[in-house]
Amino acid sequence: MSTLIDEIKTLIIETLNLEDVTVDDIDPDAPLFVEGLGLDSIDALELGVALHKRYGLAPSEDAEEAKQYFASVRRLADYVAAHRNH
Amino acid sequence: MGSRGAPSYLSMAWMPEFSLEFSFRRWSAWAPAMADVGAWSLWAHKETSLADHEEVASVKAMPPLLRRRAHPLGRAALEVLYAPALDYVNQPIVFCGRHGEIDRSLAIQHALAEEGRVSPQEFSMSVHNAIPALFLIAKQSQAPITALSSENQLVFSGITEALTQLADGASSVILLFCDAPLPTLFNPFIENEPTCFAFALEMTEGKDYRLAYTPPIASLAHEKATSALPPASLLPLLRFVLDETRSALPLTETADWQLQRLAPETCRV
Repeated sequence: MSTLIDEIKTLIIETLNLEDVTVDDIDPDAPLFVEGLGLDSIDALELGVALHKRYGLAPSEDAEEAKQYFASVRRLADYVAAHRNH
Repeated sequence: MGSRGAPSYLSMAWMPEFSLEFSFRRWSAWAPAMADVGAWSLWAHKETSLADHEEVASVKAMPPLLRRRAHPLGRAALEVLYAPALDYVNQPIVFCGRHGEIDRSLAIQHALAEEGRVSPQEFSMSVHNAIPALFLIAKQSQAPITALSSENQLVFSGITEALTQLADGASSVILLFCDAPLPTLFNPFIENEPTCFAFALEMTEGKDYRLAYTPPIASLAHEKATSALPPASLLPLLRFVLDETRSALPLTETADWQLQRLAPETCRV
């Protein structure tokens, strides 16, 4: 799982052009949005597209569910591990 | 008029005052390898030229989470807005670019054609006013933005727009021009700029410059000006402002509209 966590951190850094942020800078349990990394709603959309391309995840129709798995890198890794198609 | 005792209603005071005279108070500019005012001064006097170079403006003054959204052209524009020399204080911004960050639009179109899915981040930044808007978000300012684009005569359009904002009550307006070489796909169609650049001029009320109209037939300088005019490039404006030996800059293809220098010493270089 730690490999997947690092993979997702790298995906976030590359997809969102997070200059000066390294894999080690991202706390896997810190919030991704608003607090913590400070990402915004456009970043959420961007990540959704990237997750679809990389892992074949369908964008969630359920906003509450999306909130849950976008809460932190660890939650996102759990979700990817359970739902990935490739 | 008052000295001859004419009634006050005969004076011109009832007419709305609108002058086409103005000043440029402050300026800033960015291009690769142009480190300081001295470098721009040498360029303005045609002792050096702008080099095509990969350097990208660092925009260190902007929070990284906002800065990451800008491409090289946007970063050049942001760098001149943040420049201490410009001393930005919530003035209206007139943002002028011939094409904006066109590499972004092109990438979106490629993605749409090839994958059918575009990047929301790129799409959200692909409108022409996105770059000055990013700056105002960072500054937490609600200053008005106008974003202009045209292939030719953009300098004329930008000056006209800034003048209307002065006439509308703004005490100063930031007039920003930026451009970059186009993606190679467009090479057959267009006169390209030498490199990525941006410059900003703070326009205020004053009597250092005049936007002047002369009917083409009456203009003795018409033929000469027309032949010397690169209609599309934005850089001649900055060169004109920095080179105080020049008295007029043609702004339109027929040179009927000119920017004229009124005072010998103008922009504080």
